[in-house]
Amino acid sequence: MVLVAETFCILAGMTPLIIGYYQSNLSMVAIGCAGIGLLWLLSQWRRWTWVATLGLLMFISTAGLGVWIGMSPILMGLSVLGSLLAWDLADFSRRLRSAVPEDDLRSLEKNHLMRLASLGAVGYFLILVALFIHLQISFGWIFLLVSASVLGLLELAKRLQRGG
Amino acid sequence: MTKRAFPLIILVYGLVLAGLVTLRGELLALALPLVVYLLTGLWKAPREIQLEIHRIVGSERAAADVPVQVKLAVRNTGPGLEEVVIEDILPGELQVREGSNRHMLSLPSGSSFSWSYSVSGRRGYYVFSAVQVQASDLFGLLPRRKRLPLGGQLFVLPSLVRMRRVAIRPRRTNVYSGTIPARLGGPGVEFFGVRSYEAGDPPAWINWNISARHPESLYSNEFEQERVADVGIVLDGRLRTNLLGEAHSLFEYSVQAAASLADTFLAQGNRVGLLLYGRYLHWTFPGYGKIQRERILQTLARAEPGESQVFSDLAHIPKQLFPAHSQIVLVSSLGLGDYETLLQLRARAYQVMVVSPDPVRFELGFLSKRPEAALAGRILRMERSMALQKLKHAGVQVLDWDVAIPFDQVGPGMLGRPPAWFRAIGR
Repeated sequence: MVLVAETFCILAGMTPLIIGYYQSNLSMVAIGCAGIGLLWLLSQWRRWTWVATLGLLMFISTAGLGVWIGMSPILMGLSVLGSLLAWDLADFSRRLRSAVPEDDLRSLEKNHLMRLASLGAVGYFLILVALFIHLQISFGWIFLLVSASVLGLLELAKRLQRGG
Repeated sequence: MTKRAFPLIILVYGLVLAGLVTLRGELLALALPLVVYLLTGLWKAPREIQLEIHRIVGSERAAADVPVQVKLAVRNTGPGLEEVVIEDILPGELQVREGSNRHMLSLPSGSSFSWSYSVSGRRGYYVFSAVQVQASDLFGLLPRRKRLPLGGQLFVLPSLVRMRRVAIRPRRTNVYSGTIPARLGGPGVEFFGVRSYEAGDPPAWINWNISARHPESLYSNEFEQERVADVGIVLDGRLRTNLLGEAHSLFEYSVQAAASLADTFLAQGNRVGLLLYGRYLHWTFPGYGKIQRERILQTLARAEPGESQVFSDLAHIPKQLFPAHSQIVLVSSLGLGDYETLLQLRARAYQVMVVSPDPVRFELGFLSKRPEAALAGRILRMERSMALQKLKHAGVQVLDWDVAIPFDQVGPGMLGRPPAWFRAIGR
């Protein structure tokens, strides 16, 4: 069940990128996305756990880049959502591999997939809502938000360094 | 947050920063599912783990490779745990035979879960220390680990061979009746001598032949009393006599022999003590009966070979531990300098028995069949054979045990009755 869902999510993350970039005449990027997607699909069988994180980073960065160069945000949002869910399911299947056959895996899988489906629906709904809400903010607010983001990032990096 | 959340955080910050810098709200919108995912993980993360766990080990003692059932009962007395992995940490070389020592499940508040599995292992003493619990939110972003200390122990006892009797004849015996000839006349089975008739002697004891030759008085047969004795078993745990070649060890064979001998001596009613001689000295004080048998088997379950400068040869066996004129049984493959020590023990009037797993045959069994190895084996075997012969001449009972033959086939036959020379000299 999880394997099927993961495959579906990888395809959902990969296909909008390929379509978007192919339509924008950036076929090399589309081929690159297809390559990473295929590698991700292959990693499900070969159990290369690192590929999921690589796929997530690549797909979401590429989706962000696509939005920036003017591709459809709805399509790119679908890609972000697909990549996120596929990445989550890759880790979930890794965790499930450590379970034993006597465990109630069906119930765990069902709970996880239901929670993930609701999260996907909420996430996509939020993307759609955000795309239709336009707020005008002043330069001062933008400066404040950028500064807060940079400081937050630095603080997070420090904490992770201490923790790791 | 864990390392797993790190790429997500980077992406969120990247998209937010890019959105703010380029003034593109769509980029901010793309970050929203990631933020929702992170916040859901944070919201559903386990705050604390409060579990009541009970473990029941089916038996505290078992034979090697015999499965022992372990039952675990878990009750969640704290908040619900969406995804939890409970693992009973197994000690040492115990192996799971059936079921599993870990389970992955969802544990709502107040719910309980129990399961059982079976383990088995080689000879040893195993202490169960704790149960490891790892709980996380459904996305695995914020795992929390807790180690719950939970005691338990399992002795995997050495396998032993039941022998009907081991013929020993120490010079000194104890007061209680047993099976060892005590060199004293009295009630018994074996003929001991003739003495004047005493009032109360059964008529069947009267020796009519001698009485007929001496008409003035009657004579009675006397039998040899049989009593229990003190037996000290010395188990040689030195690495240099046990470890041969590439990690091939004779120690397990020695332990099996020591366990079998202790069991047999105790079954005969003797008082038995055990000295483990290796990295250190471990002395199991002499005693009688089933409790002593259990003590000795538990000591043997814990026994490990080791090396020490002090106890590198047998000369440092603390002889004062063994009562004078008692029986000493040494279980050792014997090194070159050990024969002298045995002769010294014999000179101190101890009755000495040696059960010696043959290291030469054992080592040749896994060496290549080259002529050099065969020649070296022959030389060593001759050397050992001569040394053992010397021991026999000094009155030491020797069992030269080829470990390829199980102890239950060698022990009862060779140790069940005293050798002919022993019976002849009667010492």
